[in-house]
Amino acid sequence: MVNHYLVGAFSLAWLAFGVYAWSLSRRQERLKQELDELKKRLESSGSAA
Amino acid sequence: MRNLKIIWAIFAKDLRLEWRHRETLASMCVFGLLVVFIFNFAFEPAREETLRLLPGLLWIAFAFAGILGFNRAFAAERENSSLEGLTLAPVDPGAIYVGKLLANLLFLGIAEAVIVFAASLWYNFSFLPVLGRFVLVVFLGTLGYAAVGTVFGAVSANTRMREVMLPVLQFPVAVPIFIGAIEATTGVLRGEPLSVYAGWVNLLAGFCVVFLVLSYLLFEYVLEE
Amino acid sequence: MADRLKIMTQKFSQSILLIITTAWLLVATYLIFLYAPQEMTMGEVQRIFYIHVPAAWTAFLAYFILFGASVAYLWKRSPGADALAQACGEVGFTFCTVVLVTGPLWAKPVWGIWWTWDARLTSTFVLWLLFVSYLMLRSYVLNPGRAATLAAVVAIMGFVDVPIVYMSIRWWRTQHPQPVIAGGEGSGLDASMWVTLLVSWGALLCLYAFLVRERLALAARQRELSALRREWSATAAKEERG
Repeated sequence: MVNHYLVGAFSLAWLAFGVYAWSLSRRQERLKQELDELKKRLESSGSAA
Repeated sequence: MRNLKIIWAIFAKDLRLEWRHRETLASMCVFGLLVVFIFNFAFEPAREETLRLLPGLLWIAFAFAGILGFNRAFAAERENSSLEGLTLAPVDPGAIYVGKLLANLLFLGIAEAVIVFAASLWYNFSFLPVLGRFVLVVFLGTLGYAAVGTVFGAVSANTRMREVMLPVLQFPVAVPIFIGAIEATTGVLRGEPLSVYAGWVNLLAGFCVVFLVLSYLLFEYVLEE
Repeated sequence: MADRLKIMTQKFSQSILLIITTAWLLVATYLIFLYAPQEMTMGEVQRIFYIHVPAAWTAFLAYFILFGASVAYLWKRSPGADALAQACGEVGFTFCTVVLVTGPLWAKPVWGIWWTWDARLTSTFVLWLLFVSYLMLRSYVLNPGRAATLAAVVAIMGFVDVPIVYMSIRWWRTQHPQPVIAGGEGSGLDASMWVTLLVSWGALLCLYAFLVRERLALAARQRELSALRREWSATAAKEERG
């Protein structure tokens, strides 16, 4: 006999935190990719010059 | 002394600019009239209800007219990039704020007069018995509303979607103004003694003081490049 | 070498924070569901209180820190202060959303209404709007160099406004009373309930700190990327000339 409002409230709360944490990690990943790519290009142009 | 000259210069310039085409002023008045008009279909006030609904209606109309006006205040500057000119000049940014604020007050005041006139006609309500107090309360509320509206207008002029950005910034902060103004207006229109709604007048006055000072101090950060 | 050490210590401390947060959250969950007694009149649903109220406290705390960071930014112009302000904006928004979602879910079964415009709820909603407008402003500013300053101004105006909003609605509601839900937080709380409440708040504060630090790391990486981009366009320009 579990209360639906109780389950709903806690689930939604954790969903909110989870979505935010996930969005953070996704943005972090994308930045890391861009960073690595740019570093590679800089290195290659540096060695070419 | 120099500041007063600057304030006057900005105020007069805005007046002159607006007077050429009067576009913004016209749209503010028309929009306000439309709000009062549509309200009639949403709530058809019987005589007894008019007193209850009129203050809220008036301030909703004032609020929307204000949004149009505050957007105008810095839209022209943005178009002509003359905002940079303002900031580069060795001028106290607070003075620019006051000049813009006075222009906003004047235009909104004119629109409010038109709105009130229309409302008194369409709802068969006479403001004349309480005109003095009514004007005072509306002035205080408008002053507070314009105090924050001028700053947020300048801020949203720097954004895309500025027509949306201004009300989004403005309305949450202006909540105390609307509560106080509507309550005080209700007291005035009902002919109640000042003691009944004095607290609301104090709220409006306090809000004005706090936000006029704060805006004056912060405006330099809004203008800087 | 010193850089690598700094990065390693940061990652280490962040991992420690994650462990502490997770552990504290587990303890709090145990207290909320198994230790705290069932409330007399409200039943099981009342347990929402243990996440709803601390989340609200944390949201207001976030806005306070946002305000402090904004003042610091206008004063010192440090990118760190601006990053902190932005982080508090995003994380505070998340917490405030949790408050507004859990609140009605608690109110409906207990008091029969989803919402009422009393001082506390209305102020919380205004706070949510302040977070939203802050975040919107930051993303819509045309010239990114100006975003920090404009956002700081907006944050300061908003923060000064919050107590005025609360007071004005309080006065307003004394004239036009409405149903008050959750009459007073401290009214009639058992000692074990206080313990649960405070432990839950501690857990949420850890979560807050963890999320803010993650967001700060993101901002730091963004700054790194911008610096590298500048370096890239500088070398590209040099090659063109050379």
